[in-house]
Amino acid sequence: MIKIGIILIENERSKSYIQKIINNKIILNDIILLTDNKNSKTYTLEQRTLCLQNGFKIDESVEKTLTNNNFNFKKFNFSEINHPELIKYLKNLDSKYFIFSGGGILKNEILNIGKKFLHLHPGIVPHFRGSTCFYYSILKNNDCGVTAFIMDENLDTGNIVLQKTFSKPNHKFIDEIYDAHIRSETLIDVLKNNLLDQENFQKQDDSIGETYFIIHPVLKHIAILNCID
Amino acid sequence: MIEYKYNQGDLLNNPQNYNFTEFGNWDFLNAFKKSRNKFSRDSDMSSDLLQNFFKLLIPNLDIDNNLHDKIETDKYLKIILIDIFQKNLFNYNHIDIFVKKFELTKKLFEKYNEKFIPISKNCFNLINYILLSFICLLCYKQEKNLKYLNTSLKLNDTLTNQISKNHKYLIPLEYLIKIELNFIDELIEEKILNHD
Repeated sequence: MIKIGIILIENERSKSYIQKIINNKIILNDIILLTDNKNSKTYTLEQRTLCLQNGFKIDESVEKTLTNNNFNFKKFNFSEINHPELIKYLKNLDSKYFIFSGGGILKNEILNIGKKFLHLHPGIVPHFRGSTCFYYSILKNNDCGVTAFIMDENLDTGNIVLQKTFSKPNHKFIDEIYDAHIRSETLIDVLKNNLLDQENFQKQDDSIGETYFIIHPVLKHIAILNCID
Repeated sequence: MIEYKYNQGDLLNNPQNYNFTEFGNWDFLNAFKKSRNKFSRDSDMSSDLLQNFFKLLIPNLDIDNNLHDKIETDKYLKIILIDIFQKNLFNYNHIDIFVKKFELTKKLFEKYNEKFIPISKNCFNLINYILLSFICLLCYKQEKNLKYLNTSLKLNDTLTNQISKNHKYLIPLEYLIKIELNFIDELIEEKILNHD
């Protein structure tokens, strides 16, 4: 079996990843937590209930999940994915793959340390590259998708591990809950089916497709109202 | 009462980043329309409107279309616009460069070098924002690609922030907002009011 690690930060995405990995009894080789100890967010009862229905507790910090489950993990007091201390640490680990869950855009220095980074991008590439793709996908296709790919130096152009399409949500918490939910469901499929072991990845044609920029609040509202109205 | 806040503040010096914007339901869309209606031109949306706007921006077609090593943004955007109106030619490679330039910084500089790196610090020439917004709206009309409507909305936030009564670009802005609001109403109709 190939060795896989994960780099977590204190965000909704990381919470959904680690909690679903635990629930599915998936073993990881290395666990790293990046935290800048900023105040944690608070969530409404509606958000907490929806998250439980989607398989994770949004109000439980990543650190608490790791501690409660007696995991050995390395904690860094910063949240930048390109931090030299992190790069130095990663180089000495056995894991070949690391699951990326945020913390900035990976620069060449970390991409070139001999490790591979798995990203769960909330859009079906090459049609939906870039930012906030789930909103554009709802407006264009009436659904959403996730692409698991191995990160390279360009934006969302890496080799594809798996693509999954999801029904659009029936609630308004797309940034906080739906995004984390569909990414984590795709991650679990990748891990349970040992797709990283097989290394049967699909190369992208980076000359086709569309790259979107962060969605304007007017278009975001039309997308959300399309889901809930 | 929700107020539309994305065209407030000094946007050319402190641009909006539009990260994790709050959801405000229909009240938000109503506040947006109310804010924009202060500028909307009172005329029908027709092909004449687009033609009239084009003639207003480019009254004569006598533009030197030799592009040199320095890219003068207004000239470049005017050539793109003339190609659209005269040849129905949408030069997406060049349009997308300016879309990306604006999206990353929320600014358009007066001059770029051949690698599209700014060589002027002046980002205050509003005609560049008007020209690119109009081009984006025409691209959206042509392709229904939301990327262009998205960029135009942000450009128009900047323009409604910078242009007030008696400004020399008030009339062009009124044209832009009329076209923008028409597309937004169509999208609301299609995606919310009439969707299954």
